[in-house]
Amino acid sequence: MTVPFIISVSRESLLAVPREQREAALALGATRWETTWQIVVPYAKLGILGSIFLGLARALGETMAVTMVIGNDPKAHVSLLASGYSIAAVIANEFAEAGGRLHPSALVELGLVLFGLTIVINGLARLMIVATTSKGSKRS
Amino acid sequence: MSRLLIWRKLVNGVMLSLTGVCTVLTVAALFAILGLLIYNGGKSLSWSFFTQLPAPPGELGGGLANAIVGSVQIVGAAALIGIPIGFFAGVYLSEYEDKMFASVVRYVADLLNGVPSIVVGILAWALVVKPMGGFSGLAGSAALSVMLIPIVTRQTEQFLREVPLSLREAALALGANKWKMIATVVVPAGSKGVLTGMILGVARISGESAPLLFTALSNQFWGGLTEPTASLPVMIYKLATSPYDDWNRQAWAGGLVLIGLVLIANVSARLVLARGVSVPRG
Repeated sequence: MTVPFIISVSRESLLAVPREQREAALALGATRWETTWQIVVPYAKLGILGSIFLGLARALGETMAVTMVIGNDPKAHVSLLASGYSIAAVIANEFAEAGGRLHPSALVELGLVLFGLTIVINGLARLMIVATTSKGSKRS
Repeated sequence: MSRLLIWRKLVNGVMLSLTGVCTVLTVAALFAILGLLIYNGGKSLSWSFFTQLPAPPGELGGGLANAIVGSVQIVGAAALIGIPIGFFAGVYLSEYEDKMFASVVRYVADLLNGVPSIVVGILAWALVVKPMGGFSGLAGSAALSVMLIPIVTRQTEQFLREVPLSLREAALALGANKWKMIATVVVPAGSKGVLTGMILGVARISGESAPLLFTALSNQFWGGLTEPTASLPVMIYKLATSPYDDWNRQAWAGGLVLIGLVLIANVSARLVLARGVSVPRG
């Protein structure tokens, strides 16, 4: 589910790389792959990293698809192959039935933690992407 | 040819084909989803699926009529709330731009777009469900509209920006004031793109289940905007995780209907955009 995000955002960053950079590399005799890997990708590096961060934040907040397959085990396991639980899954499973004052509050707190995590990651990612795309448009 | 050149050409070929393979894998994921849904859900699709209420466990038959209608209600109300706000915010960002402020708003809209949907659900729960004293379809709409606003804002802004400066200048030169210029020249010129953005946004929120879990909740019977309402995504989740085989089959069929609706919306949006760009370039 993170793949479409990474694709569309890193594509934008790669498109922001000025044409002259590619042409210069090709004119110097680089193959297409060398142009891509040594010129285009480093130029758009920050934006691509940003797109990966965006994907990461998206994955952190993904609820339903994870809830259905993660196993919903409240114990922490080291192994990735054992059942587990994610913040979003806990909220999804317990919120509708949470009674009293403490339980909903605890779940809202979990929501705050999740919100804080994704805001920080997304904030960094967006800054990186803006830096890359504006760098490209200024020079071209 | 020197050995180095051969090596470089080899690396070139191998890596370029590797990128090709990854592309194919990505596309294959969509077709795998579609294929699985059609294979498993196609059998359970019938007329009664669209017209009947869910059957109790153990009984055969039944349908998801209430979930389909509920989804339309919730998403429709969310669109009524979210599209105007998002549209005008987009117009503001594109036309009345105060550079510093606009870039901050743009940044915040992007952040809002990245907020996990379940957290948006908590927001709607705190702002709508708690004060109103119960779960309701309207609370679900509120949650979905919060997700819709940043999408529509950014799309509107992006497409209005593409309207050429010369059109704006022509309107202003004819004596139109700024609002008249926006309403009669800029928005009509960018309307196709803006419309596409709205359709894509609505398609995106109509598949969301997490924000509806504890706002609209679900319902085995007909709901409404003032009471708990069933929606397709939540219903699919409930049916798919239930222990009854018959319900699981219904979930597959529900998934097929949902993805069908979303795909139709997406494809029609692309068609609207593709059929002649309304913006003259240059």
